[in-house]
Amino acid sequence: MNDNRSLIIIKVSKWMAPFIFLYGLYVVLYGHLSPGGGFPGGVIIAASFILILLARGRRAALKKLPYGVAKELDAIGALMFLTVAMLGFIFSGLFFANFLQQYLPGETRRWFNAGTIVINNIAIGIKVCGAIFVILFFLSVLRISGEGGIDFRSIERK
Amino acid sequence: MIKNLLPLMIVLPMGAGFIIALLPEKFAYWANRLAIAVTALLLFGSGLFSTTGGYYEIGGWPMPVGINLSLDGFNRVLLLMVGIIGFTVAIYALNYMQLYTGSNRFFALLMLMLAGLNGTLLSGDLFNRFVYVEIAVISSYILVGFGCQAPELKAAFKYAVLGTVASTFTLLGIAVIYSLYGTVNIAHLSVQLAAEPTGILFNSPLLFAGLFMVLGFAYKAALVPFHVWQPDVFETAPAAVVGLISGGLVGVVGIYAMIRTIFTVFGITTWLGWMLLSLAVFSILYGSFKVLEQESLRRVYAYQTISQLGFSVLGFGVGSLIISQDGPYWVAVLIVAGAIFHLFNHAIFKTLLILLEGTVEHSEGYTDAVNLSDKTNCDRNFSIASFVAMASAAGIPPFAGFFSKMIILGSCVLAGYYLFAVVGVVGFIVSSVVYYRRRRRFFPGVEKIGGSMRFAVGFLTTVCLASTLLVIPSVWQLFPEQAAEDILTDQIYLEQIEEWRQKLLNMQLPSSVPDNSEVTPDD
Amino acid sequence: MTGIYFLILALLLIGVFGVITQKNLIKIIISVSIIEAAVNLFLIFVGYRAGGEAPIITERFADTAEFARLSVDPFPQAMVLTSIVISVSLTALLIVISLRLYHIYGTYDINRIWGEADPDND
Repeated sequence: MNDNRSLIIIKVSKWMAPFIFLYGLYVVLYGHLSPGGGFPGGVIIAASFILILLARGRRAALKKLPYGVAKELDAIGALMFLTVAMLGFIFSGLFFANFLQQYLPGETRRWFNAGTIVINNIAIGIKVCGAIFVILFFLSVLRISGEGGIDFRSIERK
Repeated sequence: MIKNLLPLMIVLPMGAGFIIALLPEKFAYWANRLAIAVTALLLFGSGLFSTTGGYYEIGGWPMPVGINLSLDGFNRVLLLMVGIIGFTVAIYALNYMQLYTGSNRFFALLMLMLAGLNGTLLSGDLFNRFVYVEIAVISSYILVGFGCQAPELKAAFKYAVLGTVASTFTLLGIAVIYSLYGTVNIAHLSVQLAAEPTGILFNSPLLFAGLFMVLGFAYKAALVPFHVWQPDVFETAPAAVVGLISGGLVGVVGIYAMIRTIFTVFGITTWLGWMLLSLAVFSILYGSFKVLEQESLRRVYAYQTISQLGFSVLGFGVGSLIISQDGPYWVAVLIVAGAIFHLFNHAIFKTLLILLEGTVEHSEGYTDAVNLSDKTNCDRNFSIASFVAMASAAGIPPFAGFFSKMIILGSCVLAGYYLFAVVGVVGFIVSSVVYYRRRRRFFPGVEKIGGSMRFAVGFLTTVCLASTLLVIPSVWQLFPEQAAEDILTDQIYLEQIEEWRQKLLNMQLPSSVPDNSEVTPDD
Repeated sequence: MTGIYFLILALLLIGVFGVITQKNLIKIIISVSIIEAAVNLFLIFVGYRAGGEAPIITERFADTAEFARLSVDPFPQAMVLTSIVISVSLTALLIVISLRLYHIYGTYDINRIWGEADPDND
């Protein structure tokens, strides 16, 4: 299947993907200071893996981000978000309270100035990255089912 | 303060859902136990909140800016309802979902759906409620297509496409309201819309917003022009899911959201009352008569659900007509309380009926009524449970279903709306006749209900019997009547506004009263 | 500005028309996405301000009053982001369901999927 793929596409995607990944990280980490945030950043990070998926096939993409890991990232991001919310409940008695801001107020317009918002952005970025990758991977598997060695177990009525 | 624990009603199921999604397949045993423990906690929590009220500001952000959770009489009855249904269905699914693979994923989605339902009930602003509605509804789309067979997928596709269009129109309504008033907070909106000089009917953007939102929620409630998804979904989805949809989703995401939008946000007006009544009358008549020609038991239940929810909406509609035309206030309270009581009852008995049908399916592998009626040696507990559920559904006197219907019909007569009383009586008689005509099919009998399903059915039968106790005057005052008064007077929401005004006065700001000229976002 | 609202209305009607008339599952999903896009566009234009700044406090603004005067309304943007997330997940779900149906029936045509062989779906 790899035979008819253009060498240019394979090489360019190989070089582009790390930069897209890095840009996604930047968007996630500076979401509270500039336009961006967890969701756009997460989508950009997922896009770097999806580029590999489209250009070099499923196996290459799964080498970078295994399906199981992506699926767990999805749940881990959501749990991280809820944990931050619950920590606010524990530390200052209010759900979703920005407890870090209370105890460690950063300098204005510096990176660490928004308390839990950075952590929330990271959590959302992890979740969105995992979810978008899983969705697109799933669609690529469903399109050509029965081919390839991926163990894709569906829910079925016994 | 106990109300500080209010967010846990949403966080617990949501967190459990993601933890279950994280666990690999081989920990299915622990995932199931976790799900049941969480639903038990939710049931306990909804019992705990059943006598409190108030609102909770998330993150400490004050009211019109921040997101808040509100708990009043109406919410807490339905919160209890969702708690009971969720607990029962989770226990029931432990055995029932052996029919399917991937029970982990079922429980993860079940938890997310419960989080969505609780969030819909609690959230105090329109947009968050929309998001919670979507969480619950998307989980239900997936759960409907859980079996991945052709009929399930077809039903899920139909349900999901039409549901997405309905949700999008709801969002459009919210956007129009935000563009007019610059807020989506229900309490803030209720004050601003009440001060609207021209009235809602002659204010065309507001009229459109109201229509979009009410009709969007009417789709989720499967009231008659929007009922097309329900029979297919009921026929094909797993019984545990159908129980959850019929008991929780339709009542909460449909009726509760619609009634909260109309009564609290738009205020009680005549034309919205007539709209509710037209939905109700068509639902009662169409649902009742359509039942007569159904062969499949699940389809019977689907059309029954349409007509029973029509009864509930009839109560709300007549109540809003009485209020808006300055009728006797106590009759309005009585009929709205009856409607809330009926919503609660319907959730209990319909879920019980569907779960019983599921036990037959589980043990026999089919629900073809003709073959089942020949069986002679049935489990006695099964017969008792199905008699209780059927009697409550058909409205036989000592059971709760009779009282709720009678309260609605009696108040219609008291308020002088004889036509609606006649419609209600027709629906009542037809639905009772259905249960009489097909009594053999409702006692199909199974030799033995297995394991956890037995407990779930027993628990729900007890609740179904115990809900009759709600008509005892002191209990009636505490739950349905309190709920009706809260929804008619918007007590908690007025308190929020009052407290906010006090805060603003203390801060010595120039504009201390929320008025219409305050917010113009798109100048 | 008014032209944009007519565009939104047109998109909405095109989407509804597509959902009603199209016979192909994928085209129905596209129509649903068009409706969602129309509503998202409307939400964005609710918070639009000609020549407005991004609603983030930077050195450009002297104080909060100037911030309030210059920046666009951030709330509809938050709503749109949420609504886009919802529509992405719904689109993915609908596509997965239609792919599953394709595996069973070998077609995307709803006339053949909801064929005459099935009992009456009303």
